[in-house]
Amino acid sequence: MVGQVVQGFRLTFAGVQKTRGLLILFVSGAGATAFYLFLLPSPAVGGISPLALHYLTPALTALAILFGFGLSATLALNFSAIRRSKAAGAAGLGGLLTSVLPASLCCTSVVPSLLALAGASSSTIIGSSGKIQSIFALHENAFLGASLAAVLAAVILAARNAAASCAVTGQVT
Amino acid sequence: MKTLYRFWLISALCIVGTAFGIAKGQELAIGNRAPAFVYRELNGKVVRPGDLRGHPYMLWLVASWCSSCEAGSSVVASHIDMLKQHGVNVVELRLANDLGAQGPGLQAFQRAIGLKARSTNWYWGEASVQQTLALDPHGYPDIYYLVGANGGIVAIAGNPAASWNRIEAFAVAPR
Repeated sequence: MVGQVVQGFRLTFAGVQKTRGLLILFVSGAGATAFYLFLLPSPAVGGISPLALHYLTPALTALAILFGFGLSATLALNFSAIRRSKAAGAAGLGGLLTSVLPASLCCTSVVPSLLALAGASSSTIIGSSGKIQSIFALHENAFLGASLAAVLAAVILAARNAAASCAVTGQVT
Repeated sequence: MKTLYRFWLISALCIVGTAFGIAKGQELAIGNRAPAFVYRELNGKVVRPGDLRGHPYMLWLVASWCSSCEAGSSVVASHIDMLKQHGVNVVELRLANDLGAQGPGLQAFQRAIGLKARSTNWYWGEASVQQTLALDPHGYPDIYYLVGANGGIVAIAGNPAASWNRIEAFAVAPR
């Protein structure tokens, strides 16, 4: 499996179409990393805002880079393959969604507003909205860990897919 | 098809109507007088309306599991001396039953802040269910009211870490 992953990376970032692969990796990676730099510390300020950068820690910075470049590597690897891997796309999307959940559903008005839209009374909302929101607040690290695992899985699946498509077409580096 | 369309239309109207009904309930608004509640402090004392009368104050309701509330407490702590200089009190209350999910309690915030939490212009307490319903009918985990010296609500917002400029402007405003 490791060999296939390495082969997929080699084809995408060192093969005949390396310029496109590297361009996708760095351009979308920089953009996605910037997004994560704002997103990951945002629970501290209750929403995505430049002020969130005050709460950026070295660990969150490292995670933002891993998430950002992990997703862009998945994109580049998928582009280099003839048939895009649906599994890698789903894992990447799963990682993206899981990482967004704590920032958007904890300590914001989203959950109480959704409960109100569903017809819940004020008494019900103040007695239960915390049960949902606190999951994202108290288990934020678990959500980030799951996101990281999903992004890594997406990269591996996309790399294997890129390597497999090379075997089908007989492409050489 | 028409029946299905009608069903969805009626359901949507019910949902929107309910939401507006809740939103328009007994919600406090800017310009209203802050309710004259007696708040129970963590140390067993009480804060009576008379204790707050005549001075501007920040009435802040938080859930103790809420990360923006913890960050906000640190921001308030770093400015608590400035607030004291301007005669502004802070009343920070844990929402009733932490909105249904028991958090670590406000003592955890106090420990994180250290000595600043003992500032004489900072009251720490627990809101009752009735007070929570009146002050936070939407169940937001982080909401504050800026109350003027005359008892009128000047501003309503949340997340002091993100809206400190507003609090500072309120504190330094000429009275």
